[in-house]
Amino acid sequence: MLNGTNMLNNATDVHTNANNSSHKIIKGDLADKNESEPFLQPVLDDVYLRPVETVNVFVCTLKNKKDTAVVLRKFSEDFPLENLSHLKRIKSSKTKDAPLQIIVCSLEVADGEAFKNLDIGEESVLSKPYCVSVPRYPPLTRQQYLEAIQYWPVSFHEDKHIASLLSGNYFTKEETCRFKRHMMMAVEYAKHAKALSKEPIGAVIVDPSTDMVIAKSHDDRHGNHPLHHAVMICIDLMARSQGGGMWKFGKECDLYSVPCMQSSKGDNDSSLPYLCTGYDLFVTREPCVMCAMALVHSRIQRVFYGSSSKDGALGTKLKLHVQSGLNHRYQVFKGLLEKECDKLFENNSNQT
Amino acid sequence: MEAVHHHWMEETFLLAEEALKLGEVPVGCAFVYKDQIIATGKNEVNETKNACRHAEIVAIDKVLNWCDERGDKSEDVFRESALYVTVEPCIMCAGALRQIGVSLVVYGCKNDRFGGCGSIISVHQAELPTLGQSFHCIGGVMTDRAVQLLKDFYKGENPNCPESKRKIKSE
Ligand SMILES: [Zn+2]
Ligand SMILES: [Zn+2]
Repeated sequence: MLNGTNMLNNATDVHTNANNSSHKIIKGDLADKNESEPFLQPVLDDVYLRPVETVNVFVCTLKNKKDTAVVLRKFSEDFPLENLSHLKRIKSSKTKDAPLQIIVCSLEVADGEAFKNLDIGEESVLSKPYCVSVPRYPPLTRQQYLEAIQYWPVSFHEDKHIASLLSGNYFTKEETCRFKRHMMMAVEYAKHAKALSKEPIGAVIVDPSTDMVIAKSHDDRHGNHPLHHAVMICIDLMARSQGGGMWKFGKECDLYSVPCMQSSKGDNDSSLPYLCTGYDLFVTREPCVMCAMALVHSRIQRVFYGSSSKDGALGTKLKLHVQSGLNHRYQVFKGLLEKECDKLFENNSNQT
Repeated sequence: MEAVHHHWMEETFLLAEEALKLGEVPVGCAFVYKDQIIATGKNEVNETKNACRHAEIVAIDKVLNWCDERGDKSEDVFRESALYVTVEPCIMCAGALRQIGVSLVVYGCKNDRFGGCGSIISVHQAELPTLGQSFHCIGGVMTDRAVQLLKDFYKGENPNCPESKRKIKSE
């Protein structure tokens, strides 16, 4: 297993990789859509976004097509492709009647006895093996598929859900309108915080099944408590609305205005503190790692944020919502009312 | 040095045992400042209905109050404090500990589910400048006792019980 530091470094690396040329195609696509219509960008696991990585394998050229079946059978038995099973074994050439190329095995396997003892047969059947770069991983998105087949034919099973997320049409117009309304409320709270010289960040928790606002808050980390981030306060207000809660808030408490409510989940065991199960969070700025993990603990369903933060844990420095090893994952969308959210930080010295 | 750690860890285990009796995940902690304990905490997730009410957060709140009463600056106190905790802080708490600016954390056993000081990710040492300074960690102090407590807790969970009645596994 990778240790924690490596995981972090990897996250950063991939982020850097995202700027390389092959990946710009995706980015450009999203940017175009962003300009024409408001587009909620899903923050997906890096496996869906990474450019195609390659690995070297040994390939032979098949001199006569009539030998294909025999060679294919022999190679499949002696050198199963195992973790390269997404690769098609044979690559045909674009020009008709040109020789076929066939994968023998990976370089690691080529160190073994089987390869050394390989009876390639007469020179007339196969060429000498040579190295070719092929895609290391199965393609998970159409973009990756199109990139992968530039190297070598691969099989591709499109994930409909991921494809829909990437299409830019995942949410209906009505849904997007609703989301904007909730984010607007978070922006209002952030403005209020700004007027009080607090960190201009606002948060709102909504039950999407009823469209009801459950809790709303703004940041207060520079007040009496350094952990009073908007998200942490919002989660605690949820707990308070159900008879719990860990923090007492000062007179600004009025502002948070939590409706006193019964559990709408039909779950009468109120001792379960997974209060955010099935709920959405709207927050003007990308949460830090503490808040992102607090949302894992609270079992939030989806998070929508406006602007990114320097050390943000939901896309910028980390993707904690899809972190392997954790027992809960949630969906994240960024860029909701991004301009309004960015504007909150204008003339603000604390750029978090 | 080891003996000093054991001395403070003993205290945190008493808190963890208390949490266990109350049906909470058995984690306890203590902030040590100028050779004395200034605040302790145990898990209070069920009590507060807030899944974030981990022992460390409870203790941080108490240190803030303690500083408030004495008129001390909390940043100064945290900087010169060490946190002793029975289990490796989770990712959330590790983030919290960086933001309050603690310099040393000593813990018992690893936290395989949520660990933020190496087990899942390394928040304590990660390149996250806006979160504050990184902090130093010493793990593996009285590990067996910490592990045993967690085992006792999970053993107490009756797997035949309906999901909603089962204890919360939150640290
Ligand atoms: Zn935060
Ligand atoms: Zn924790």
